[in-house]
Amino acid sequence: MSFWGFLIDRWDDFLVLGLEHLAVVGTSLALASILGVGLSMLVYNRSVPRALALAIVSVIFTIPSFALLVLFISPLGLGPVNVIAALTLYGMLPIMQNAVVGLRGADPGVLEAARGLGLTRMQQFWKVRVPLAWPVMLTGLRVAALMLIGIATLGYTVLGPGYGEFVFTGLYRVGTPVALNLVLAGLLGVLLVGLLSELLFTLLRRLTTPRSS
Amino acid sequence: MTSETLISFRGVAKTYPGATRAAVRELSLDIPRGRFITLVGPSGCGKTTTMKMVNRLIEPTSGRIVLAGQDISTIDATSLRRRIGYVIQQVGLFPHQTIERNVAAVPRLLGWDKARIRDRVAELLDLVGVPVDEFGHRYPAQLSGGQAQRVGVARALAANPEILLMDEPFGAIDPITRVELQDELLRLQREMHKTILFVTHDIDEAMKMGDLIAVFDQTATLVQFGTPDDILASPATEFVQRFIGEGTGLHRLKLRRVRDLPLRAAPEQGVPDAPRLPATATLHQALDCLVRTSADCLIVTEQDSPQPMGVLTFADLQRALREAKTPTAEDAA
Repeated sequence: MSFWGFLIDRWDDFLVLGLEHLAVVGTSLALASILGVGLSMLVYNRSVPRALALAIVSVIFTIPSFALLVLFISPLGLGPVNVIAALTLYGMLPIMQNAVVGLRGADPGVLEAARGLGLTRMQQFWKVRVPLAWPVMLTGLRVAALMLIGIATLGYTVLGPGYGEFVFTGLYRVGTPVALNLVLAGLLGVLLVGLLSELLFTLLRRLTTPRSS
Repeated sequence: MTSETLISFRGVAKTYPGATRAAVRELSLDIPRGRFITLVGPSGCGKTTTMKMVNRLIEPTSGRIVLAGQDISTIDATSLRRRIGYVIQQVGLFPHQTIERNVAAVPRLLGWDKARIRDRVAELLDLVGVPVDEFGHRYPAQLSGGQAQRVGVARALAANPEILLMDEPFGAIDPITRVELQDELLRLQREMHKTILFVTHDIDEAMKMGDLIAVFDQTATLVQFGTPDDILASPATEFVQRFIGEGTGLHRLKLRRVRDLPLRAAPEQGVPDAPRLPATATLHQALDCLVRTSADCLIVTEQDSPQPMGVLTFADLQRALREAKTPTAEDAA
């Protein structure tokens, strides 16, 4: 059977797995954003906690994703919760790195003006520092999203949702005629989800940051 | 002119933690209401620190600063700052907000209603020459350096503060635009009568802008406080002498205008071939005209009219400089 024939034949599965993939990545990204950005706001201007937090998320990042998923089986069991926990931890590094750089990189002249005009500490932070850091933070989220879309495929090893099912089923059936079609369908799906994510982030950036010239 | 004190520094000193020498040394200084004060001196002389203590961006180590009879350490720093305009060299417009919104910053903090803010923003942007219809919806990155600082000044004036603090506001702007901005600030000040503290390291700018100049030396000590003419005519210390540099006589001529001098009546028969000069010219321009044309005297005319008001000779210029402590051009304006 040709690949396109296969795709048409399995179209319903293709769509369902796509929605699952989006849901698991979206949930993990949301959790990682809340934790990562929140933690960055707490530590960005304190050198020791900042170094410590970044070191911890970096170490977590170096754990092979396969190992982390297996490690989570005993506390979290098989399925989406396990995958979401792992993806959330992986997403922390790019999100925190960008958030910290953004928050620290705010133009000192602008911050000084904000203080001199009489903004309270809270207003200086939420109305000036955070908006100035926003484009850099957004870049972190975008990179994290792409990364998680890829890693989520491995989630099928602990029976997680998404296009991993196509890829791994293909892998188990290597040598049969359907194997290649399954792997290709999985890759196409991941690619499409990645493109969709890029599109959404480009749109979000357009809508939330002023044009510079 | 009566000079009611608005800001009074009383034995104010500042030493930064860990520093061995004082950033500002025992400063006592009364700033009169409604005057343009320039703080001038070399880097590290404490002029900026002095200015920033007024809106409590920096707290003094000792001494008190009294604003209209009230010790500022008893005023909440945030509300104090909203009462005082603040302009810095880096401009510091909020890059994520439109020009309109930038100017509206303090009125919004103060909770003005929308219509009042809109009117005030339009008025100010027109006043500083960045019309709201053309620029209001743009972002700071779309402005030139000069335009950005005009907006910076408008933002500082938005809530109509009595005091304006300016930290080398034109220091990063090209020389031609800087002169324009200086002239416009002086024009605005003639209408506004704010109390302005203006920090600069450029003595020429200090002389041009200030009704009164406070000169600080490298040891962070205030060494002289007086009108530009006072300082040029009788520098208090050798440091001031060196800082104001050569050509103090020529400088003093720039501070006064022909119309401020008693003019000799023009002779009945007229003075054939004598060059003409408007009464608004400075004495420096008059001298230049005399030297350039090799004339014995100038015919001073009213502005925009050829009507002679009188004649001016080289001896008149010399006499003008001999009379110390005469009113400056700014006083007469």
